[in-house]
Amino acid sequence: MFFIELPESVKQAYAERGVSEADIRYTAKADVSKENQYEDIYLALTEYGLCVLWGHEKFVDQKGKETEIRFQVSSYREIPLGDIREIVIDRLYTVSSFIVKTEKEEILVCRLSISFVGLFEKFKSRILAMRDHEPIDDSGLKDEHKCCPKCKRPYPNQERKVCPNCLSSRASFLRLLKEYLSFKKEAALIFVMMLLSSVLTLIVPLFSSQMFYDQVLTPPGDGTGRFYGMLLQMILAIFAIKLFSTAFSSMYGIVLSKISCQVLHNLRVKIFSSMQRLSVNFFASKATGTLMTRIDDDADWLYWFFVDIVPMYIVSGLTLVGLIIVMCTISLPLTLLIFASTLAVGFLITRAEKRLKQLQRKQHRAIRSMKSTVTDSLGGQKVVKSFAREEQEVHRFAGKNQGYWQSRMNIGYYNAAHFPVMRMIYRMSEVVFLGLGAIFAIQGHLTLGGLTALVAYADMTLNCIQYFLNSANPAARAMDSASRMFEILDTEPSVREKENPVRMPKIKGNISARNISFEYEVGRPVIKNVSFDVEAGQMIGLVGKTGAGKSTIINLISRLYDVTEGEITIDGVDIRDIAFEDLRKNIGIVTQETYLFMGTIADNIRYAKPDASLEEVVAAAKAAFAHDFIARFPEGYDTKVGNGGVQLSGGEKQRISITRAILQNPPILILDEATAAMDTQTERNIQTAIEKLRAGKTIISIAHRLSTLRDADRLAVIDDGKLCESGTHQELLEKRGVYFNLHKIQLDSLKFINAGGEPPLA
Amino acid sequence: MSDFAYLSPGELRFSLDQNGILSLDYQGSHYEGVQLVRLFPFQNPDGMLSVSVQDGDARKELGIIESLSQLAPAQRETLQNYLRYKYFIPNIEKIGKIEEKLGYVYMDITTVLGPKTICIADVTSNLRLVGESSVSIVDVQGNRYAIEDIDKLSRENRQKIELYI
Repeated sequence: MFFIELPESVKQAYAERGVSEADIRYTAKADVSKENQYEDIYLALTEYGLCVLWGHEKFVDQKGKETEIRFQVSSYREIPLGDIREIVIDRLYTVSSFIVKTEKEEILVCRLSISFVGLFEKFKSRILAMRDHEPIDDSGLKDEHKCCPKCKRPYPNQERKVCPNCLSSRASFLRLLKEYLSFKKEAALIFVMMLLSSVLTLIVPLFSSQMFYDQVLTPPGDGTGRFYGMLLQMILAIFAIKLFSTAFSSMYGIVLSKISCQVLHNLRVKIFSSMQRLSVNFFASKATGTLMTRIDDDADWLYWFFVDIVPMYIVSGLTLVGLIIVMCTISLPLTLLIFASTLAVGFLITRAEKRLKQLQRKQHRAIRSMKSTVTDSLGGQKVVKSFAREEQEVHRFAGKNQGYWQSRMNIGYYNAAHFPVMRMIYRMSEVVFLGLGAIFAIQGHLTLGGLTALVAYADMTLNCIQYFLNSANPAARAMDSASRMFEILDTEPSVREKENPVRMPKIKGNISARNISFEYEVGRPVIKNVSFDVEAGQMIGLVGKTGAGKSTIINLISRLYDVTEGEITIDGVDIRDIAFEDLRKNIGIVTQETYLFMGTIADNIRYAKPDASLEEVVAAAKAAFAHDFIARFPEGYDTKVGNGGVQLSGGEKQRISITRAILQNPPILILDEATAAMDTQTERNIQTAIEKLRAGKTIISIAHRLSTLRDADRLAVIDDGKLCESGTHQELLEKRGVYFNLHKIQLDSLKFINAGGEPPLA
Repeated sequence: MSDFAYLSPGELRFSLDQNGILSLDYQGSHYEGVQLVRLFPFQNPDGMLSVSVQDGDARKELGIIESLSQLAPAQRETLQNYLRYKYFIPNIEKIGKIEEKLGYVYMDITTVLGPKTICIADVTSNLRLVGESSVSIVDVQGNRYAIEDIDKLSRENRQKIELYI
């Protein structure tokens, strides 16, 4: 059922009004009533009419299961399809109106937030088509999820399987742990060493305090002082324990680093390779910066999680258990006192740190804002100077800087006011504890060694507890990182290779588009019902204004996106059935924007065919008129280009791109404004080169300069996503239509340039 | 300097139907589905209004109204009603629970339209201070919300939102 899945309660409400689920062909949902209040309005389209339910939804949480939606109907209306004369979606700034006009009246059915407009445009076209009994093609439709199917909260990303609200940290943690446990032996080793190191940490105060005072320094008598005077042995023993404990710690550090680096490496490669698998629209919808963060920062967070957070958690946990046992054997009441006071102080510190974090966050924002002002102003220095606005710029910077200074000062004040007080509270509780301990010692409940050992343990306890309290936040962040990483691993590419695709190592090059439509954004079609045929060996030119949809057609042929309606075939096979490798190997694309990778010019040319010989590279470059400018570089074909290398001009880059295509030698060649950045002479030369290449190739060429396309067998004129004319240059001129006008404007401007006179009136 | 002519205010006859659709009679022509655009919605909300009409498949600008104050009172009220309707942004009056999950901020809000839960992605760019004390919010679905004056929120609500500004 398109476009939205009806909740059970809504289906029931319809059934009670005589509209069975089987009758409903299309559905839509709006969110604002005509009285401008949030309301839940369901619309169902049947063969007879438009059935509208007004009411309110209530979410009932089902404890982990899918949230149930209860629907309270406030009113209902059925508008017969035959009565509908016109439908208007009046787009306003934030809330649009959906108006149905019948012969008798105009009905403002509902209002809708901007996000619903796309869906309603489609719904509207289905209503009109059903009214007129026209065929409807739904093959390219996808279900719309405005809300998460599970928790029913707003859904940020259609490609996600799980919404962020439903992702549990526990699931991410377990999945991550699995990754980690592929190193079973090392993990076991780490655990053993951690155990030993925490036992050793616990033993040290027993030796250095309790035994030292009670057995070594105390003269023998009533069972104590067994090792009286054995100072050297005692010091050596403590020394040995410290040595062992340090050795264990560093050994486990080494093993852990090794495993963690391996895990990190695996994760990074995994994220990067699953990104490569995804379709271009994934990259269009996310800023490159965010994606880099994912590979970089998120992987780092996970690294710290395993190297630092998890081991410390275990060590602290074990130590804490050990501490409780050892301390209780020394003195139960004092142990309780220590725990109570450290817990209280730990809690206070955590609260203060939370507030501090908020302040730091503000400071972070202020820094960012200041930095961007600097970048903005320094980047625009030419403009600043040419309008003599230096002083204003200084003023602008000073304002931002003051914001930063203010936020820093707040942090300073807060630190100064709170942390000394907390330290004092802790020290005071220590004094109380020492005093109590002294009383116990005097009364004989406690030895001097026991008391000093307890003092040492009290510090350890505070450290452990504070660690637990502080680690919650970094642990949550690491889980966020993990979930984000798994999100990429789980994202399905929107353009997918079919299972058992058709293998076509050799393509002839017959291309045929049948009634294709396409939209990047729901409800805004860019290509509307376009059909054309290109026979193998033909050259077709696509002509039209900027934004008419020419480049989109090319993206569809090379399957960077999939059509939403209709089909494109190559040699009679739907391109959605052809193996990616065969499809892309057989199509060469030269675009206006050429991306050169970091590396030499030769590497970049060879990108299309890594095993090409040096001779082949030079021959291709000569054919693309790139050889001459390459030869002029002191380092020739070995000149470094791309990020940090020699900067090439737009025309030079394009020639390298054409060289690539010549080397690839595909049966289908697509030229998207491939010569736009070149001077007229070079363009002529390139055209001669392409002319030579043409034999046996299907060429689709887009060009603004119509003269570029004079050799095309056929021209297709695209206007506003539709194919409005096609034929040869001569035929189109005789038609005196869109092409004729485009041609006339270009011709006139050429005349104007040649004559150097007044611009002609178009 | 001015290369454009303002519409002559005396000849404009606007009317607004019950569904909020505007029509216009101007210099002997009748136009349906007229749209008004504030050219400077913040600096000059009641002046410099671009009037456009449907012309085949495209929209065509008929001209610019210099200032609403030049119109007759009844006409002025019609346009003010229309503009209020068109530029309506749900104003947030109360902020409930705010949760951050995976970089998305879920916020329970109460606007003039009623209560709602919204989800905001990339909160630094989608929740912005406009002017001195008003806030503009765009949620993941592209819907807009505003807080016209954060000083009018309760202290507790203000602290919640200030974390993100």
